[in-house]
Amino acid sequence: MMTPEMQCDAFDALLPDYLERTLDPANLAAARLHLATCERCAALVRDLDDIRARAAELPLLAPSRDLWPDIESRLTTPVISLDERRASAAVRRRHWMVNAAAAAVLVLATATASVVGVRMVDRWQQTNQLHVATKNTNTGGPANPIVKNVAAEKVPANVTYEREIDALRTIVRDRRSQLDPKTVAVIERNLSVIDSAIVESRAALQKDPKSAFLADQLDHALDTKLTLLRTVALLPART
Amino acid sequence: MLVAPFEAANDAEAARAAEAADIAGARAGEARAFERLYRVHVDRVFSLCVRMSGDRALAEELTQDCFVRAWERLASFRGESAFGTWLYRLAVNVVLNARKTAGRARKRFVTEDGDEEPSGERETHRNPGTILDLEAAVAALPPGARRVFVLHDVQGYRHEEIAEMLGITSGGSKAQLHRARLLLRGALER
Repeated sequence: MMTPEMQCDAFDALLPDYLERTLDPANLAAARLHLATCERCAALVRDLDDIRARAAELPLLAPSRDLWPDIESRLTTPVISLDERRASAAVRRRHWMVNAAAAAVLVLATATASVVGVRMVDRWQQTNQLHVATKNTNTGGPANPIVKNVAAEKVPANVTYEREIDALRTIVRDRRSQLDPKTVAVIERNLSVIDSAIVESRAALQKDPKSAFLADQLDHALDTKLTLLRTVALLPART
Repeated sequence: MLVAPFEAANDAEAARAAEAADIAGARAGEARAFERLYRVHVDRVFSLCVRMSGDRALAEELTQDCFVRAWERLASFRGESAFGTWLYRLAVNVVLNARKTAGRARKRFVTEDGDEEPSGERETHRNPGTILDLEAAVAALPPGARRVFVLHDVQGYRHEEIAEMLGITSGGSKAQLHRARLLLRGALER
């Protein structure tokens, strides 16, 4: 649609400023003249004015629930500045690392104790059965079906070792007369070496009780002694 | 019921005095005083958040954020403007900052003229049957046009203020407003 003074597309270009009432007087006069003769543009202006008026009167909206309890709970939470937050995070990281290291040591110690304990239990059961079997062999009687499970009584490891070593030593002493003197001499020398290793390991372990290496060395020495004594207990009589 | 002019003025003065007392109490750490401020202003803050974001559930979160932020920043309120003016400007910033954060976190659609547009709103444009009234039509506007329309025609901010808030030019604000009005007219005619 056209008017002698202004075309619709020219009016459209002026429309934002017309609605904002920021047109200069000359353009404002031309726009008013166009609106007086152009129903299309007049309707457009009426509609946009109506939208603006209705927008200004839109009613207030309310939340679906009372937001205050959630807000209040957040107000009572202390606000920590970023610097404090970073500092506390660093402290937490340090604590975490210390705790992690302690946990790692604990796991290692527990695992070591478990392995040693299982090995000791195995050894104890083996020697206990050997003990019983040896006694039964010596007496010629039937194997005792009831073998007391000493390990199940949670006897301390060193006590278990000492008890078993004493038992085997008694057997070896009893069998000494049945063995070749040269064999007995070799056995005694080896036992002496092993006992020295046990004494040294115990002394070192007393100075450094937490050393897994020294504990393992002592365990190994005691284990060697048990193996030797078991072997001697089962040696055949002098031929 | 008719109210005599001087009585209305007295009521307004009493309300201002009560609000000033609550502001002082809240600045001193009194949650009850701040709750009273919340009760007075929550609907207007929520309305602004709904219309700016186009999402009622999000608007409830933004309203909470706004009041928490206001509590934290009460010390910076110097009384140079009305508390409501300060609070609503804070709400606008909360909405705009949330938009920036969300914009970094999610994939956005971009319309042909470069205006970002969430997928749900895009669908609304294509379905005129869902546009029932001006409120729904405003919610269905592209975000850029909607923000300017709400700030200008609903909240009454000037283009210069809107340009500063949104980081655009005053001319850009005028163009978005006109675009929004034309889109609304088209939607409401259907």
